[in-house]
Amino acid sequence: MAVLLAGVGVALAAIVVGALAPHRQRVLYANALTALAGVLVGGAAIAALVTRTTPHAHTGALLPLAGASLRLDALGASLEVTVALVVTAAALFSIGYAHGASASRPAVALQAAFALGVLLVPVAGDVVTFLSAWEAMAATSLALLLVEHDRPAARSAALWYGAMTQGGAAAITLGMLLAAAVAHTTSLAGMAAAGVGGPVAVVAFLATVAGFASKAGAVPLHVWLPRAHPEASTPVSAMMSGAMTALGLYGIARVDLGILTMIGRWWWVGVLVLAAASALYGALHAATATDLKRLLAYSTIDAMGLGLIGLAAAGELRAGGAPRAAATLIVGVLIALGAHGAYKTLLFLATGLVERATGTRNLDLLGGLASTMARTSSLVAVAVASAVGVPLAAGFVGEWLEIEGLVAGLAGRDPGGVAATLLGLVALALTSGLTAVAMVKLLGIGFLGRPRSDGARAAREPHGIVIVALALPALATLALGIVPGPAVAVAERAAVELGGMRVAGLRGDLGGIAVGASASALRPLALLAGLVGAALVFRVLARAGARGVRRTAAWACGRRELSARMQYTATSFAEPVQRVFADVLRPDVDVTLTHEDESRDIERVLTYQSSVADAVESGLYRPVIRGADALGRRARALANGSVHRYLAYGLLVLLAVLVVLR
Amino acid sequence: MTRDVVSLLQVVVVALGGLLLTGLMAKIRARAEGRVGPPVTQPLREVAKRLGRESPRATAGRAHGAVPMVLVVTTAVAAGLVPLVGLQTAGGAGADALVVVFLLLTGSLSLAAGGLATATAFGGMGASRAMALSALAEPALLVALAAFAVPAGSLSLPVLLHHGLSVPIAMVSPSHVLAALALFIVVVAETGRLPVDNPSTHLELTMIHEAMTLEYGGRDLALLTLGAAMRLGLLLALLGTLAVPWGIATSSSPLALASGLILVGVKATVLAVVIALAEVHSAKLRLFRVPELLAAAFVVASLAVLVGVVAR
Repeated sequence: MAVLLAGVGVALAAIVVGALAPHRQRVLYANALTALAGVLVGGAAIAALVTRTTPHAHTGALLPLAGASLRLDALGASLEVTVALVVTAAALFSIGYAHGASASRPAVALQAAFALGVLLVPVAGDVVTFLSAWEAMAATSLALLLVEHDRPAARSAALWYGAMTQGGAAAITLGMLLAAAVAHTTSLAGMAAAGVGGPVAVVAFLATVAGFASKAGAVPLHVWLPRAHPEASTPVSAMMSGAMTALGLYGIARVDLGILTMIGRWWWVGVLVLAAASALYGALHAATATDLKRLLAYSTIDAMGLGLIGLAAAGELRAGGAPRAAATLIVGVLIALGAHGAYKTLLFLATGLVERATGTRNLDLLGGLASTMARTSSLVAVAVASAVGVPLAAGFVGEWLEIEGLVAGLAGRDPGGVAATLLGLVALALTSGLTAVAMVKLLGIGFLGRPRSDGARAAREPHGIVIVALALPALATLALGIVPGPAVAVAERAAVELGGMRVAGLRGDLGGIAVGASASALRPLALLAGLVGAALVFRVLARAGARGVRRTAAWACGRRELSARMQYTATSFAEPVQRVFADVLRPDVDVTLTHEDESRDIERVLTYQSSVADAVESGLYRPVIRGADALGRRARALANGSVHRYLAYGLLVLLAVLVVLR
Repeated sequence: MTRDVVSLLQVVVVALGGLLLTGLMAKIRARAEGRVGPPVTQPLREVAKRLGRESPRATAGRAHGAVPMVLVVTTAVAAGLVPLVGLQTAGGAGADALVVVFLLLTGSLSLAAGGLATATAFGGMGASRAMALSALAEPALLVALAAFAVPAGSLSLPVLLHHGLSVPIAMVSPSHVLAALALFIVVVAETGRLPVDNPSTHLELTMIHEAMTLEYGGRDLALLTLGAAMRLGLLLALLGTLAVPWGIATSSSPLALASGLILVGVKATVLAVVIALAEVHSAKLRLFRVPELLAAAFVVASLAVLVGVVAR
């Protein structure tokens, strides 16, 4: 506990340093302190997991009514490791990256405060502490969006984000207070032990799911995410995507799976449908996006949708009498959140470097970075491998466990349960295929091939601490992918902690994972040995009698002058997917053709423009906003400036109150 | 020890068998069209010849040159992992269906990345098309494998094949047949055969797989051809084994392994002949009709899962 408290103290010091110190020292010391806080808190979480202890601390002084209480149980600690990794990487990155508005006093201090907020949410031990940490996280991230408030896009993103995050926080507060009132305690562990049921539980379930799902970017509450991520500064986007959205899922696991245990299974089926839609929608938009940060934002919606599928299916399976499959799914989600935190942080940070080196993050203008920014590109390749599920990278472990859990959940169930689980499996499979398109596009168009603009051509490899910040999550990705056993063993305890789930018979050791219930196993170390062995054999075979490599010009079907404009772009690469899924995406395609004056048979210029707007936003939110706007305009007639009228209103309200209280 | 031998044997068999099956399918097509056609061993000879040649490479990056090796190595490891000749391979219980799927996916993703790395129009075109189709083929493959896995309750290939051997009647259950059908469509798509892709096309605009390999030559091309052939051999043998697990060696006696070897060869050859004959009588689908075919496979696979669970 001492280490955890020390970490919190260091994070507080970082805020103070960020607010007071002059420019140079500010960026260096505040971020170094934040990174140190991440290391300390992450270390405390790992220590608690290894020693199988649940450290906790309580003070009556800090917060009103209930005091503040911190508690590191297996679930919180599992999440905290991910959050700490993201915070540390982002803070290290900021040391070498922060400039301009993002190095100003408020920006640096707010970023440190945001880091403290995300670090506190998983260790909060009671409702009041949880809500305070949650609000600190939400408010600071909202303020961070406004750091570059002179740009209209940033202001609009902040408006959207502010509405969604505060609405979500209100819903979460309502739900958690209702649950606490029924359980007669505000301690999260006490509420879980008491168990909350009845009609109040349903209201609390709906309110908290809506609030947490909006933070995790679930469709249709995702609209803030593709706006906020591109507008926030790079390290803030990384923390928002890698840590904050994951905390939305943590909330669902903690409150809805852990406390509202008596909720009916069909409520979870409803969440599952939402999650499936969310994952697919995010994956489709990620596959067609051309702006790097927008792509990553939609890919976050996709990854969180997959996590939500896992949690919802686990809730349904637990209520439907398959506790082992449920536990496997929870473990899978926790591992997947760790994997996502690592690879998404890396990708966001790399996007920042690319934007700084080339002046753009439009994939259609990038390319060829593999030769000019070789180290960055290699690290991005590791992240992409994890995202698409290449075995030996962390992403695969989470996906493997989730699919194992879903398949185990298919056996021996009633038709309704089977249909629900199958929906989860089908959505997961489709999403995984579409994710591969998005990620190959990111790597292949952005980093391979030839530069598509002068900016991309002039790119230079960054040096120093920013590369260290990228290497950290890459190492974590490989470590978790090659030796997943210990993490799985730890995460299983977290699943059992949620109650109603039996040990899934997961055995994790250095060699790999074994799922006892289904007798399947994952042996990444043996796989690695096999891959290395096969590579050596084929290398020897290929070398024997070969004459090496010759550099030539590309053949390109005999075409001589090959220009960079002849390459496929991100738009053209995604065109087949866009066409296949046109009904969902509703792309806006515009082709204009101008002719030569002499003849209409000879074309002069052909322009093709294609853009994909968010159909949910235009279909669902625009009418609501228009309606609210119209209502506001009408209401103006009520207030025409006449004092007599206002006095009449006051009299009417007074009469109404008297009638009601009579 | 015997497990390692089984795995090594399988890699060699899949490599040689894949090349020979490629040759056989070309031969069948040629004969059906009234031509003599190249000998069945032609792909084998071409690979052997090109392995001794230097590789012309058009790009400076390492990605382009690494692709053939990644493709061959991942496919070889997958071939060593899957129980084809014997039930127990070097992978043991780790011979998981998902690991095989994602190893193969790694190969196809690297091929697509290689196509984009060449910076030519055709490389990008092939990669774009291949990824769009793979985005639909992969889910169908996953769900079809889940349908095979449901009766045994496990995605571990030795476990689910063992279950299949112990309940032979399950081989003709509606769920099993539907899953095999879905897997068949996916295999046709994933190996780039008609009606999805024409392996013998010479017109770049109609290419999918070949477009990504246009900029490779010499040793690189030999490895790519070998990788594609191994993929064909592996997927056909896997489909044959999953559909009719009967005949796979359950013990490590040489006799059992020999009969397992012969039977998996027979199963794969039968499937290859069926696909080749079907190819003779079918034209290539329009590119944007292919998703409908794959979606059908996807629906059939989902139906297989549903029927399999509910009917029990």
